[in-house]
Amino acid sequence: MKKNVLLLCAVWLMLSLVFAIGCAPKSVNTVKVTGTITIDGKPLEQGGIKFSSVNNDTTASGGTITNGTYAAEVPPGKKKVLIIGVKVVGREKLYDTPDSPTREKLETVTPTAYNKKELTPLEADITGETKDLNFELSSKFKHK
Amino acid sequence: MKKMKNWNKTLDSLEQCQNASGYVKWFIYHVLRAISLLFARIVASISVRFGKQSSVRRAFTLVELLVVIAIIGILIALLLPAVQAAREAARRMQCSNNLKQWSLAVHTHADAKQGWFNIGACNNDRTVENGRAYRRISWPTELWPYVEQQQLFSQYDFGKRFHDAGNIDTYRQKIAGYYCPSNNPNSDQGNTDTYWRVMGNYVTNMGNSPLHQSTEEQARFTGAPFGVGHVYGLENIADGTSNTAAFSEIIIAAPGGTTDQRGDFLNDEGSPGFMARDADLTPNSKVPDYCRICVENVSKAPCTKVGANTDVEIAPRSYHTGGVNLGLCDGAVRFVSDTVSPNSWQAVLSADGGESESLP
Repeated sequence: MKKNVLLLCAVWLMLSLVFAIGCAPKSVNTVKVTGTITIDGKPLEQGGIKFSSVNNDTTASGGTITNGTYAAEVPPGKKKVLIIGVKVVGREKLYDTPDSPTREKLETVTPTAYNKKELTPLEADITGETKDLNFELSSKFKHK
Repeated sequence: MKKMKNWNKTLDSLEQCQNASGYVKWFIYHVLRAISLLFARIVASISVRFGKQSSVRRAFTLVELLVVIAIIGILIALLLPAVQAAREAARRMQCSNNLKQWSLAVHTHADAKQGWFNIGACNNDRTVENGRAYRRISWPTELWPYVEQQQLFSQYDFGKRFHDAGNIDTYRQKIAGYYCPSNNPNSDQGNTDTYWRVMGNYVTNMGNSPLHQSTEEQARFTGAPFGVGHVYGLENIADGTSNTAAFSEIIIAAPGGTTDQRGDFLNDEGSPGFMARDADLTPNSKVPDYCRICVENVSKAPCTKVGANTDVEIAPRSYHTGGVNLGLCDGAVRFVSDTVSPNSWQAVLSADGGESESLP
Protein backbone atom coordinates (compact mmCIF):
# COMPACT_ATOMS: atom_id res chain seq x y z
CA MET A 1 0.00 0.00 0.00
CA LYS A 2 2.81 2.36 0.90
CA LYS A 3 4.40 1.68 -2.45
CA ASN A 4 1.15 2.54 -4.24
CA VAL A 5 0.86 5.84 -2.46
CA LEU A 6 4.41 6.68 -3.42
CA LEU A 7 3.67 5.80 -7.03
CA LEU A 8 0.56 7.96 -6.93
CA CYS A 9 2.56 10.90 -5.69
CA ALA A 10 5.13 10.29 -8.38
CA VAL A 11 2.50 10.34 -11.13
CA TRP A 12 0.94 13.58 -9.94
CA LEU A 13 4.32 15.22 -9.55
CA MET A 14 5.06 14.18 -13.10
CA LEU A 15 1.82 15.83 -14.21
CA SER A 16 2.64 19.06 -12.45
CA LEU A 17 6.11 19.00 -13.99
CA VAL A 18 4.53 18.89 -17.46
CA PHE A 19 2.67 22.09 -16.57
CA ALA A 20 5.72 23.70 -15.05
CA ILE A 21 8.18 23.12 -17.91
CA GLY A 22 8.25 25.91 -20.41
CA CYS A 23 10.46 28.74 -21.51
CA ALA A 24 9.46 32.20 -20.40
CA PRO A 25 8.65 34.36 -23.46
CA LYS A 26 11.38 36.78 -24.45
CA SER A 27 10.32 40.16 -23.12
CA VAL A 28 10.40 43.20 -25.40
CA ASN A 29 13.61 45.11 -24.93
CA THR A 30 12.57 47.97 -22.64
CA VAL A 31 14.04 49.56 -19.53
CA LYS A 32 12.25 51.05 -16.57
CA VAL A 33 12.30 54.83 -16.32
CA THR A 34 10.88 56.73 -13.36
CA GLY A 35 10.97 60.32 -12.17
CA THR A 36 9.04 63.38 -11.14
CA ILE A 37 7.42 66.18 -13.12
CA THR A 38 7.02 69.67 -11.72
CA ILE A 39 5.48 72.79 -13.16
CA ASP A 40 6.68 76.10 -11.73
CA GLY A 41 8.27 74.09 -8.94
CA LYS A 42 5.07 72.26 -7.92
CA PRO A 43 4.32 68.61 -8.70
CA LEU A 44 2.05 68.10 -11.73
CA GLU A 45 -1.30 66.83 -10.37
CA GLN A 46 -2.20 64.46 -13.21
CA GLY A 47 -1.37 63.96 -16.85
CA GLY A 48 0.53 61.87 -19.33
CA ILE A 49 4.11 61.51 -20.53
CA LYS A 50 5.32 60.11 -23.86
CA PHE A 51 8.80 59.05 -24.91
CA SER A 52 8.85 59.34 -28.69
CA SER A 53 11.84 58.14 -30.68
CA VAL A 54 13.66 61.07 -32.36
CA ASN A 55 14.02 59.16 -35.66
CA ASN A 56 10.79 57.16 -35.25
CA ASP A 57 12.85 53.96 -35.36
CA THR A 58 11.44 52.36 -32.22
CA THR A 59 7.88 52.32 -30.94
CA ALA A 60 7.01 55.06 -28.50
CA SER A 61 6.25 54.44 -24.87
CA GLY A 62 4.83 56.41 -22.01
CA GLY A 63 2.91 56.49 -18.80
CA THR A 64 0.47 58.29 -16.59
CA ILE A 65 1.56 61.09 -14.26
CA THR A 66 -0.01 60.98 -10.79
CA ASN A 67 0.90 63.51 -8.10
CA GLY A 68 4.03 64.50 -9.94
CA THR A 69 5.50 61.03 -10.46
CA TYR A 70 5.54 58.69 -13.44
CA ALA A 71 6.89 55.27 -14.39
CA ALA A 72 7.32 53.94 -17.94
CA GLU A 73 8.84 50.99 -19.79
CA VAL A 74 10.87 52.59 -22.55
CA PRO A 75 12.92 51.05 -25.39
CA PRO A 76 16.45 52.59 -25.18
CA GLY A 77 17.47 55.38 -27.56
CA LYS A 78 17.25 59.13 -28.09
CA LYS A 79 13.80 60.40 -27.19
CA LYS A 80 11.69 63.50 -27.46
CA VAL A 81 9.64 63.80 -24.29
CA LEU A 82 6.03 64.98 -24.55
CA ILE A 83 4.08 65.99 -21.47
CA ILE A 84 0.49 67.07 -20.88
CA GLY A 85 -0.79 68.03 -17.43
CA VAL A 86 -4.35 68.71 -16.28
CA LYS A 87 -6.19 69.61 -13.12
CA VAL A 88 -9.79 69.07 -12.03
CA VAL A 89 -11.78 72.31 -11.98
CA GLY A 90 -15.35 71.05 -11.49
CA ARG A 91 -17.93 69.15 -13.50
CA GLU A 92 -19.33 69.59 -17.01
CA LYS A 93 -22.29 68.35 -19.10
CA LEU A 94 -21.94 65.56 -21.65
CA TYR A 95 -24.71 66.81 -23.96
CA ASP A 96 -26.33 70.11 -24.70
CA THR A 97 -29.54 69.14 -22.85
CA PRO A 98 -30.98 70.11 -19.44
CA ASP A 99 -30.94 66.55 -18.03
CA SER A 100 -27.47 65.71 -19.31
CA PRO A 101 -25.21 63.57 -17.11
CA THR A 102 -21.90 65.17 -16.13
CA ARG A 103 -18.24 64.26 -16.02
CA GLU A 104 -15.12 65.73 -14.39
CA LYS A 105 -14.13 69.03 -16.00
CA LEU A 106 -10.40 69.13 -16.54
CA GLU A 107 -8.25 72.07 -17.49
CA THR A 108 -4.88 71.80 -19.23
CA VAL A 109 -2.17 73.42 -17.11
CA THR A 110 0.86 72.80 -19.33
CA PRO A 111 1.64 74.93 -22.41
CA THR A 112 0.62 72.98 -25.54
CA ALA A 113 4.18 73.03 -26.93
CA TYR A 114 5.23 70.44 -24.33
CA ASN A 115 2.78 68.01 -25.94
CA LYS A 116 3.88 68.46 -29.56
CA LYS A 117 6.79 66.48 -30.87
CA GLU A 118 8.03 69.23 -33.19
CA LEU A 119 7.95 71.87 -30.43
CA THR A 120 8.85 70.18 -27.15
CA PRO A 121 12.16 71.32 -25.61
CA LEU A 122 12.41 68.15 -23.50
CA GLU A 123 14.76 65.40 -24.60
CA ALA A 124 16.25 62.29 -23.03
CA ASP A 125 18.83 59.72 -24.00
CA ILE A 126 17.77 56.44 -22.45
CA THR A 127 20.58 53.90 -22.23
CA GLY A 128 19.51 51.74 -19.29
CA GLU A 129 17.27 51.64 -16.29
CA THR A 130 16.89 55.24 -15.10
CA LYS A 131 15.63 56.57 -11.81
CA ASP A 132 14.97 60.24 -11.19
CA LEU A 133 14.63 61.28 -14.81
CA ASN A 134 12.93 64.48 -13.71
CA PHE A 135 11.43 67.24 -15.84
CA GLU A 136 10.78 70.81 -14.72
CA LEU A 137 8.20 72.64 -16.77
CA SER A 138 7.29 76.30 -16.79
CA SER A 139 3.74 77.53 -17.36
CA LYS A 140 5.25 80.53 -19.17
CA PHE A 141 7.18 78.45 -21.72
CA LYS A 142 6.84 79.73 -25.28
CA HIS A 143 8.23 77.86 -28.26
CA LYS A 144 10.31 79.75 -30.81
CA MET B 1 21.63 1.76 -17.26
CA LYS B 2 21.44 2.04 -21.03
CA LYS B 3 17.90 3.33 -20.71
CA MET B 4 19.08 5.88 -18.20
CA LYS B 5 21.57 7.22 -20.74
CA ASN B 6 18.82 7.74 -23.28
CA TRP B 7 16.82 9.68 -20.77
CA ASN B 8 19.85 11.79 -20.03
CA LYS B 9 20.02 12.70 -23.68
CA THR B 10 16.41 13.88 -23.72
CA LEU B 11 16.95 15.76 -20.53
CA ASP B 12 20.05 17.48 -21.88
CA SER B 13 17.94 19.13 -24.53
CA LEU B 14 15.42 20.03 -21.86
CA GLU B 15 18.19 21.68 -19.91
CA GLN B 16 18.52 24.48 -22.47
CA CYS B 17 15.12 25.49 -21.24
CA GLN B 18 15.42 24.78 -17.58
CA ASN B 19 18.22 23.62 -15.35
CA ALA B 20 17.22 20.11 -14.34
CA SER B 21 19.33 18.93 -11.44
CA GLY B 22 20.63 15.37 -11.15
CA TYR B 23 17.93 14.60 -8.66
CA VAL B 24 15.15 15.63 -11.03
CA LYS B 25 16.69 13.40 -13.72
CA TRP B 26 16.73 10.46 -11.34
CA PHE B 27 13.17 11.17 -10.33
CA ILE B 28 11.85 11.43 -13.88
CA TYR B 29 13.65 8.22 -14.81
CA HIS B 30 11.95 6.34 -12.01
CA VAL B 31 8.53 7.81 -12.68
CA LEU B 32 8.70 6.91 -16.33
CA ARG B 33 9.88 3.40 -15.47
CA ALA B 34 6.95 3.02 -13.10
CA ILE B 35 4.55 4.18 -15.79
CA SER B 36 5.91 1.73 -18.36
CA LEU B 37 5.66 -1.13 -15.85
CA LEU B 38 2.10 -0.16 -15.04
CA PHE B 39 1.22 -0.06 -18.71
CA ALA B 40 2.52 -3.58 -19.07
CA ARG B 41 0.38 -4.61 -16.14
CA ILE B 42 -2.75 -2.96 -17.51
CA VAL B 43 -2.29 -4.66 -20.86
CA ALA B 44 -1.76 -7.94 -19.05
CA SER B 45 -4.88 -7.47 -16.95
CA ILE B 46 -6.96 -6.66 -20.00
CA SER B 47 -5.78 -9.81 -21.77
CA VAL B 48 -6.50 -11.82 -18.63
CA ARG B 49 -10.05 -10.36 -18.47
CA PHE B 50 -10.89 -11.30 -22.00
CA GLY B 51 -8.84 -14.47 -22.20
CA LYS B 52 -10.86 -17.70 -22.39
CA GLN B 53 -8.71 -19.57 -19.93
CA SER B 54 -9.44 -17.12 -17.13
CA SER B 55 -11.93 -18.19 -14.54
CA VAL B 56 -10.98 -15.53 -11.98
CA ARG B 57 -12.52 -12.03 -12.42
CA ARG B 58 -9.69 -9.60 -12.08
CA ALA B 59 -10.42 -5.87 -11.58
CA PHE B 60 -8.19 -2.84 -12.28
CA THR B 61 -6.38 -1.57 -9.25
CA LEU B 62 -6.81 2.01 -8.08
CA VAL B 63 -3.31 2.92 -9.15
CA GLU B 64 -3.85 1.57 -12.63
CA LEU B 65 -6.96 3.67 -13.06
CA LEU B 66 -5.24 6.76 -11.69
CA VAL B 67 -2.36 6.29 -14.09
CA VAL B 68 -4.76 6.15 -17.01
CA ILE B 69 -6.48 9.31 -15.78
CA ALA B 70 -3.11 11.00 -15.34
CA ILE B 71 -2.10 10.16 -18.90
CA ILE B 72 -5.40 11.49 -20.24
CA GLY B 73 -4.76 14.59 -18.14
CA ILE B 74 -1.36 15.07 -19.70
CA LEU B 75 -2.80 14.71 -23.20
CA ILE B 76 -5.51 17.30 -22.45
CA ALA B 77 -2.90 19.63 -20.99
CA LEU B 78 -0.92 19.37 -24.21
CA LEU B 79 -3.94 19.85 -26.47
CA LEU B 80 -5.81 22.62 -24.65
CA PRO B 81 -3.50 25.50 -25.61
CA ALA B 82 -3.71 24.43 -29.25
CA VAL B 83 -7.51 24.37 -29.11
CA GLN B 84 -7.60 27.81 -27.48
CA ALA B 85 -5.27 29.20 -30.15
CA ALA B 86 -7.52 27.79 -32.87
CA ARG B 87 -10.59 29.42 -31.27
CA GLU B 88 -8.83 32.80 -31.07
CA ALA B 89 -7.76 32.46 -34.70
CA ALA B 90 -11.41 31.95 -35.65
CA ARG B 91 -12.45 35.04 -33.67
CA ARG B 92 -9.72 37.07 -35.33
CA MET B 93 -10.94 35.93 -38.72
CA GLN B 94 -14.50 36.98 -37.94
CA CYS B 95 -13.16 40.31 -36.73
CA SER B 96 -11.25 40.90 -39.97
CA ASN B 97 -14.36 39.92 -41.91
CA ASN B 98 -16.32 42.67 -40.11
CA LEU B 99 -13.61 45.18 -41.04
CA LYS B 100 -13.81 44.10 -44.65
CA GLN B 101 -17.59 44.62 -44.68
CA TRP B 102 -17.18 48.18 -43.37
CA SER B 103 -14.46 48.95 -45.94
CA LEU B 104 -16.62 47.62 -48.76
CA ALA B 105 -19.58 49.65 -47.42
CA VAL B 106 -17.44 52.79 -47.69
CA HIS B 107 -16.73 51.96 -51.33
CA THR B 108 -20.39 51.39 -52.11
CA HIS B 109 -21.16 54.70 -50.39
CA ALA B 110 -18.50 56.45 -52.48
CA ASP B 111 -19.96 54.93 -55.67
CA ALA B 112 -23.41 56.22 -54.76
CA LYS B 113 -22.26 59.71 -53.62
CA GLN B 114 -19.92 61.02 -56.33
CA GLY B 115 -16.79 59.62 -54.67
CA TRP B 116 -17.45 61.04 -51.18
CA PHE B 117 -16.87 58.85 -48.14
CA ASN B 118 -19.24 58.91 -45.19
CA ILE B 119 -18.50 61.45 -42.45
CA GLY B 120 -16.25 60.19 -39.61
CA ALA B 121 -18.30 62.07 -37.04
CA CYS B 122 -19.69 65.56 -36.54
CA ASN B 123 -19.50 67.45 -33.26
CA ASN B 124 -21.73 70.46 -33.97
CA ASP B 125 -24.04 71.89 -36.62
CA ARG B 126 -22.02 72.56 -39.73
CA THR B 127 -21.90 72.25 -43.49
CA VAL B 128 -18.94 70.21 -44.67
CA GLU B 129 -16.84 69.77 -47.82
CA ASN B 130 -19.49 67.89 -49.84
CA GLY B 131 -22.06 70.64 -49.24
CA ARG B 132 -24.16 68.60 -46.83
CA ALA B 133 -25.21 69.88 -43.40
CA TYR B 134 -24.62 67.61 -40.43
CA ARG B 135 -25.46 67.74 -36.73
CA ARG B 136 -23.93 65.53 -33.99
CA ILE B 137 -23.55 62.10 -35.64
CA SER B 138 -21.13 59.18 -35.94
CA TRP B 139 -19.84 57.21 -38.92
CA PRO B 140 -21.98 54.04 -39.00
CA THR B 141 -25.20 55.97 -39.76
CA GLU B 142 -24.38 56.74 -43.39
CA LEU B 143 -23.06 53.20 -43.96
CA TRP B 144 -26.16 51.41 -42.67
CA PRO B 145 -27.81 51.03 -46.09
CA TYR B 146 -24.67 49.25 -47.32
CA VAL B 147 -24.51 46.73 -44.45
CA GLU B 148 -28.13 45.56 -44.77
CA GLN B 149 -29.53 48.02 -42.23
CA GLN B 150 -31.74 50.12 -44.51
CA GLN B 151 -34.59 50.19 -41.96
CA LEU B 152 -32.34 51.93 -39.38
CA PHE B 153 -31.21 54.42 -41.99
CA SER B 154 -34.80 55.32 -42.93
CA GLN B 155 -35.61 55.80 -39.26
CA TYR B 156 -32.69 58.21 -38.65
CA ASP B 157 -33.48 61.91 -39.02
CA PHE B 158 -30.42 63.85 -40.23
CA GLY B 159 -32.10 67.09 -39.10
CA LYS B 160 -31.68 66.01 -35.48
CA ARG B 161 -28.68 65.19 -33.30
CA PHE B 162 -27.89 61.55 -32.59
CA HIS B 163 -29.01 61.83 -28.98
CA ASP B 164 -32.37 63.42 -29.80
CA ALA B 165 -35.58 61.42 -29.40
CA GLY B 166 -36.11 59.08 -32.35
CA ASN B 167 -32.48 59.00 -33.45
CA ILE B 168 -31.16 57.56 -30.20
CA ASP B 169 -33.30 54.43 -30.71
CA THR B 170 -31.37 53.64 -33.88
CA TYR B 171 -28.12 53.89 -31.87
CA ARG B 172 -29.47 51.24 -29.49
CA GLN B 173 -29.73 48.48 -32.11
CA LYS B 174 -27.02 45.87 -31.76
CA ILE B 175 -25.55 44.99 -35.14
CA ALA B 176 -23.23 41.98 -35.29
CA GLY B 177 -20.79 43.99 -37.41
CA TYR B 178 -20.13 46.42 -34.52
CA TYR B 179 -18.34 43.83 -32.43
CA CYS B 180 -15.08 41.93 -32.52
CA PRO B 181 -15.74 38.53 -30.91
CA SER B 182 -12.41 38.67 -29.05
CA ASN B 183 -13.55 41.56 -26.85
CA ASN B 184 -16.84 42.09 -25.00
CA PRO B 185 -19.25 41.24 -27.83
CA ASN B 186 -22.77 42.72 -27.58
CA SER B 187 -21.79 45.41 -25.07
CA ASP B 188 -23.77 48.60 -24.62
CA GLN B 189 -23.84 51.36 -22.02
CA GLY B 190 -26.37 49.40 -19.97
CA ASN B 191 -29.10 52.00 -19.52
CA THR B 192 -26.84 53.98 -17.18
CA ASP B 193 -27.63 57.25 -18.90
CA THR B 194 -30.74 58.80 -20.52
CA TYR B 195 -28.83 58.77 -23.81
CA TRP B 196 -27.23 55.32 -23.54
CA ARG B 197 -26.27 53.58 -26.79
CA VAL B 198 -24.55 50.42 -27.91
CA MET B 199 -20.77 50.23 -28.00
CA GLY B 200 -18.50 48.81 -30.67
CA ASN B 201 -14.96 47.80 -31.55
CA TYR B 202 -14.51 49.43 -34.95
CA VAL B 203 -13.04 52.86 -35.45
CA THR B 204 -12.24 54.99 -38.49
CA ASN B 205 -8.77 56.24 -39.39
CA MET B 206 -8.43 59.92 -38.49
CA GLY B 207 -4.73 60.25 -39.33
CA ASN B 208 -2.10 62.41 -37.66
CA SER B 209 -4.50 64.59 -35.75
CA PRO B 210 -6.18 64.66 -32.36
CA LEU B 211 -9.86 63.62 -32.25
CA HIS B 212 -11.07 67.20 -32.86
CA GLN B 213 -8.83 69.42 -34.97
CA SER B 214 -7.78 72.93 -34.07
CA THR B 215 -6.93 75.29 -36.95
CA GLU B 216 -3.19 74.82 -36.41
CA GLU B 217 -3.60 71.03 -36.40
CA GLN B 218 -5.42 71.29 -39.73
CA ALA B 219 -2.40 73.05 -41.18
CA ARG B 220 -0.02 70.15 -40.43
CA PHE B 221 -2.59 67.42 -41.15
CA THR B 222 -1.44 65.04 -43.89
CA GLY B 223 -4.89 63.71 -44.67
CA ALA B 224 -7.04 60.79 -43.62
CA PRO B 225 -10.14 59.18 -45.08
CA PHE B 226 -12.23 60.27 -42.07
CA GLY B 227 -12.41 63.16 -39.66
CA VAL B 228 -14.65 64.85 -37.10
CA GLY B 229 -16.51 67.67 -38.81
CA HIS B 230 -14.89 66.93 -42.17
CA VAL B 231 -15.77 64.66 -45.04
CA TYR B 232 -13.26 63.32 -47.53
CA GLY B 233 -13.49 61.31 -50.72
CA LEU B 234 -11.57 58.99 -53.01
CA GLU B 235 -9.75 61.94 -54.58
CA ASN B 236 -8.26 62.82 -51.16
CA ILE B 237 -6.49 59.44 -50.94
CA ALA B 238 -3.43 60.58 -52.88
CA ASP B 239 -1.14 57.96 -51.31
CA GLY B 240 -3.30 55.25 -52.88
CA THR B 241 -6.12 53.24 -51.40
CA SER B 242 -3.83 50.24 -50.79
CA ASN B 243 -1.49 52.40 -48.70
CA THR B 244 -4.08 54.11 -46.54
CA ALA B 245 -5.93 52.69 -43.54
CA ALA B 246 -9.72 53.04 -43.34
CA PHE B 247 -10.72 51.14 -40.20
CA SER B 248 -9.17 49.41 -37.24
CA GLU B 249 -10.31 48.10 -33.89
CA ILE B 250 -10.17 49.23 -30.27
CA ILE B 251 -10.85 47.63 -26.91
CA ILE B 252 -14.20 48.42 -25.29
CA ALA B 253 -12.57 49.41 -22.04
CA ALA B 254 -15.59 49.66 -19.71
CA PRO B 255 -18.69 47.97 -21.15
CA GLY B 256 -21.99 48.55 -19.39
CA GLY B 257 -21.42 52.20 -18.52
CA THR B 258 -20.32 55.68 -19.55
CA THR B 259 -17.10 55.70 -17.54
CA ASP B 260 -14.80 55.23 -20.54
CA GLN B 261 -15.13 56.80 -23.97
CA ARG B 262 -13.21 54.01 -25.67
CA GLY B 263 -15.88 51.82 -27.26
CA ASP B 264 -18.48 54.62 -27.34
CA PHE B 265 -18.03 54.72 -31.11
CA LEU B 266 -21.50 56.12 -31.82
CA ASN B 267 -20.55 59.42 -30.15
CA ASP B 268 -18.45 62.13 -31.80
CA GLU B 269 -16.87 62.75 -28.36
CA GLY B 270 -16.43 59.01 -27.73
CA SER B 271 -14.25 56.95 -30.00
CA PRO B 272 -15.44 57.32 -33.60
CA GLY B 273 -11.84 57.07 -34.75
CA PHE B 274 -8.25 56.13 -33.98
CA MET B 275 -5.35 58.46 -34.62
CA ALA B 276 -1.68 59.15 -33.97
CA ARG B 277 -0.62 62.79 -34.00
CA ASP B 278 3.11 62.00 -33.91
CA ALA B 279 3.09 58.35 -35.04
CA ASP B 280 3.39 57.46 -31.35
CA LEU B 281 0.17 55.56 -31.02
CA THR B 282 1.07 52.36 -32.85
CA PRO B 283 -1.11 49.22 -32.39
CA ASN B 284 -1.50 48.25 -28.71
CA SER B 285 0.79 51.15 -27.81
CA LYS B 286 2.33 51.42 -24.35
CA VAL B 287 1.59 55.13 -24.58
CA PRO B 288 -1.67 55.75 -22.71
CA ASP B 289 -4.70 56.82 -24.72
CA TYR B 290 -5.56 60.45 -23.95
CA CYS B 291 -9.30 60.47 -23.12
CA ARG B 292 -11.88 62.91 -21.76
CA ILE B 293 -13.25 60.15 -19.57
CA CYS B 294 -11.69 56.74 -18.97
CA VAL B 295 -10.88 54.08 -16.41
CA GLU B 296 -7.28 53.20 -15.70
CA ASN B 297 -5.77 49.74 -15.33
CA VAL B 298 -7.70 48.06 -18.15
CA SER B 299 -5.52 45.27 -19.50
CA LYS B 300 -3.74 46.34 -22.75
CA ALA B 301 -5.56 49.72 -22.70
CA PRO B 302 -3.69 52.27 -20.55
CA CYS B 303 -5.14 55.78 -20.44
CA THR B 304 -4.75 59.29 -19.10
CA LYS B 305 -7.47 61.91 -18.73
CA VAL B 306 -7.19 65.16 -20.65
CA GLY B 307 -9.35 68.26 -20.64
CA ALA B 308 -10.14 68.93 -24.30
CA ASN B 309 -11.26 66.98 -27.39
CA THR B 310 -8.36 68.64 -29.21
CA ASP B 311 -5.99 66.65 -26.96
CA VAL B 312 -7.78 63.30 -27.29
CA GLU B 313 -5.77 60.57 -29.01
CA ILE B 314 -6.75 56.91 -29.18
CA ALA B 315 -4.61 54.01 -30.42
CA PRO B 316 -5.97 50.89 -32.11
CA ARG B 317 -6.01 48.05 -29.59
CA SER B 318 -7.16 44.44 -29.47
CA TYR B 319 -6.95 41.26 -27.45
CA HIS B 320 -5.60 39.33 -30.45
CA THR B 321 -2.06 38.09 -29.91
CA GLY B 322 0.59 40.59 -30.99
CA GLY B 323 -1.28 43.08 -33.15
CA VAL B 324 -4.52 44.52 -34.52
CA ASN B 325 -6.57 44.08 -37.68
CA LEU B 326 -6.38 47.02 -40.02
CA GLY B 327 -8.84 47.54 -42.91
CA LEU B 328 -7.33 49.48 -45.81
CA CYS B 329 -9.16 51.82 -48.16
CA ASP B 330 -8.96 49.26 -50.98
CA GLY B 331 -10.95 46.73 -48.93
CA ALA B 332 -7.96 44.60 -47.92
CA VAL B 333 -7.58 43.64 -44.25
CA ARG B 334 -4.09 43.26 -42.80
CA PHE B 335 -2.92 42.06 -39.40
CA VAL B 336 -0.47 44.71 -38.21
CA SER B 337 2.08 43.78 -35.57
CA ASP B 338 2.56 45.74 -32.33
CA THR B 339 6.18 46.20 -33.35
CA VAL B 340 5.40 47.99 -36.63
CA SER B 341 7.84 50.86 -37.20
CA PRO B 342 6.35 54.27 -36.35
CA ASN B 343 7.37 55.53 -39.81
CA SER B 344 5.38 52.82 -41.62
CA TRP B 345 2.50 53.44 -39.25
CA GLN B 346 2.49 57.15 -40.03
CA ALA B 347 2.60 56.33 -43.73
CA VAL B 348 -0.40 54.00 -43.61
CA LEU B 349 -2.44 56.47 -41.54
CA SER B 350 -1.90 59.47 -43.79
CA ALA B 351 -3.96 59.76 -46.96
CA ASP B 352 -1.82 62.48 -48.50
CA GLY B 353 1.57 62.27 -46.81
CA GLY B 354 3.65 61.30 -49.84
CA GLU B 355 5.69 58.81 -47.77
CA SER B 356 7.71 56.16 -49.57
CA GLU B 357 7.27 53.68 -46.71
CA SER B 358 4.48 51.14 -46.65
CA LEU B 359 3.41 48.36 -44.33
CA PRO B 360 5.90 45.46 -44.22
